[in-house]
Amino acid sequence: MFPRLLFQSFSRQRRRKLLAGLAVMLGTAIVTAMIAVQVDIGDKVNRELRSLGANILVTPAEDTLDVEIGGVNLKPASEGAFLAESELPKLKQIFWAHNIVGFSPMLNAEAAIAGLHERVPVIGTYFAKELQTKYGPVVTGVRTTHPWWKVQGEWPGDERREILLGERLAKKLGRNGPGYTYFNNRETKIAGILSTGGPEDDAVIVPLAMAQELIGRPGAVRRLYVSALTKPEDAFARRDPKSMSPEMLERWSCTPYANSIAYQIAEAIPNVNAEQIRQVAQNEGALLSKISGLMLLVTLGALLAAVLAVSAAMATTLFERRREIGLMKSLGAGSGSVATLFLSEAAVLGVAGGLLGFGVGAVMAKRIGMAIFQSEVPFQPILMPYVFLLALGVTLAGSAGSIRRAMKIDPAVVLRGDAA
Amino acid sequence: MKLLSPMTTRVLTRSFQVRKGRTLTALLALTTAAAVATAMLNLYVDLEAKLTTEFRRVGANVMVTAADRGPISTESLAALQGIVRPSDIAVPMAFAVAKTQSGRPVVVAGVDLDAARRANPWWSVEGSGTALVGVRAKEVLRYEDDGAVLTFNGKPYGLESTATLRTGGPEDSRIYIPMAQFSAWAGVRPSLVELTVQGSAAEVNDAMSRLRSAAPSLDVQPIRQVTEAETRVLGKTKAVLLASTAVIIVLVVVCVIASLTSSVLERRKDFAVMKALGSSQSEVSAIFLAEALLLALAASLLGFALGSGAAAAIGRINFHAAVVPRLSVLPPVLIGGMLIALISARLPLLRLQKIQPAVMLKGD
Repeated sequence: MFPRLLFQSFSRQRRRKLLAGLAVMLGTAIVTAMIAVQVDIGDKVNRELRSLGANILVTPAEDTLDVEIGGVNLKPASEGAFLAESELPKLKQIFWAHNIVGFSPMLNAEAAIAGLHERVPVIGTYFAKELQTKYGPVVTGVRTTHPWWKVQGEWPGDERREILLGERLAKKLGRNGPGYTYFNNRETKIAGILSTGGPEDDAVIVPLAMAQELIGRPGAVRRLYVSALTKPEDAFARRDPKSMSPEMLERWSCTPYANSIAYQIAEAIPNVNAEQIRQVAQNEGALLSKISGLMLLVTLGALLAAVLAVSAAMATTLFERRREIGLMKSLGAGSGSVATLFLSEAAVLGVAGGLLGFGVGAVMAKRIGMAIFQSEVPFQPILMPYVFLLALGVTLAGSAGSIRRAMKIDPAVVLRGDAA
Repeated sequence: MKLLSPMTTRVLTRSFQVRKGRTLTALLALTTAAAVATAMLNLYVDLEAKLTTEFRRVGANVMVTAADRGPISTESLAALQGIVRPSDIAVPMAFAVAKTQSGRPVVVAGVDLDAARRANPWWSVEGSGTALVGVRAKEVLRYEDDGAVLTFNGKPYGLESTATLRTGGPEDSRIYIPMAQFSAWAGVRPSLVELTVQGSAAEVNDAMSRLRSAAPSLDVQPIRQVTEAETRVLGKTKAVLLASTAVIIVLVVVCVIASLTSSVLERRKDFAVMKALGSSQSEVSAIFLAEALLLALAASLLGFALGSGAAAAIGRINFHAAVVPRLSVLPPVLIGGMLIALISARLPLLRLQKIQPAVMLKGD
């Protein structure tokens, strides 16, 4: 009898079921889309925040003090300690290799350039250098770690004798585009003009190998900027790893805090200091948690709105069926069986509408990701059962109020037709 | 006017009184839609202000130097201070390369310490003192025998109480002392001003151009590392919120229209009775539409209040500053609410008009 009632209810009242199903579907779609976006927004914004630049700085452990004013280091270029360029591929072999978006070595030097009496500052670095690591080739350099560097012309090749002129220096030399000049007394190609808004605007930027040649120290690197995807710092992240128990140290090392990534880098490369650049690392964490917090609250709000919208639709359909309920009751059905029938109906609707809405929501999330971040919001299959249960929950919660009211209906009153 | 005739008024009041349950359901649906729309629009409008404030914690966004990279003249500095608003922070900095007793060079900066710490809340300072010593500079000073005395141009400066500064950046190798003591000791004028300008990108650009025209001898540059990241993150976040807002509002509205349409369709008997008693088509439609509009008006106002409350709460929880409700959001919410109500009343009415009252009353 019960299955028949359920079946008939769906086959006879198509319009009403369609309405309720539509409501459930839309509700689920909102929830699915918002959850998919919410889960992924942290990762997406984290990548956008990498445009703030490197968040970890690696320096030689025994280095002398930097004498730097306004971004210009007055310390003689060959003084102090250096990092070994040959150690760099190790960065891509540590546990957090996948979190390291890129890194750029820097080496300061000085050289003469045609048209100026005084020597100009020279910075050697990687532009987009291909490095061989144990796990295959990786491409890294300032184009990844310093996205605010803009070049008019072309980026130099890392293996060629090509240079970039800083914008202000180029102005001083009266150059406004690519060309040739005498740099360090050799004819050299200017690939482009670099504009950074910083001290690099007054310098010549060259491939790392050229700078090493200038100071006569092959394989030397002064400092290394690392750009890594990190987790916002909490109280646990700030603890000193030396004071931790082995289990705590393991948990600490297995969380991508800027500090724990820096710690691992210092372990992988001998004799270096690796430290988070607080200006970037600290603020990045704060911004990230603010933005994901906002999206979480919006998702919760959307969930509430979905419940309310579904409950309004459910109330409408049940309201229209009060005569039917009256009839059932007058034929001897108890409140329990009436509630069971309607709850089962809601569950069927929840499953069907939920499945459809799930698909619609996933497509929407994907569209949002493509339109805004030019990359998909990947839908984690692991979310599926949760979203599904949530959809069912939304439907049942939305129906609960009206079903309770249906149970209280007095058959005599509704059948006479007086009820409001 | 026909809409306000005593009869119409009575029909409307009775309609709401007699069918309380249904009226409440419709009110709930419309209020939800209005509240969601209000909350999301409020958040969207306020997001830029909230996020730019967060971004200012990254530190200065404008760097001012003399065009010739030398010291900044007193007049230019005064002109700059005159333009900076009270909410902005200007930190002039003077530098000298001093020698420690053992002859090691170290950069000493003269600065207003309080302003510098306010402008860079990410500076980690341990201890308290009249000077901030970077953590790497401290390593060097450790080798000094008796107290730390810095020498510049033959003049000594004794460091007394010092706090340790840790930033992970170039500040770690410097010593920061108060500007007044620095000028008396080294006699070097500021060569750099770091400006933290509050507000949107347009406001920052505006402040920069005012600075350039007030002090033409200065070189005013945005700190692109900060401003570009800000623009990117802000743009993307706004776009995500806008897309979410659109998805949520559209879905809730469709859901509400569906349930309201159904509830109007359900009243075909009322419609038929009125027609059978001699009302004209337009009179009946007017009553139904007036009912829907009244409901929408009440729901929009209620939803506006609830939604503003929700947005304010989200702002307080997440940004520790309330999202102030904007009255500019009210008109679109009101008009939207009315439109939804009109659409959901009008669509079923069009269908009902085609049916004879007799057929409807017979119940087929």
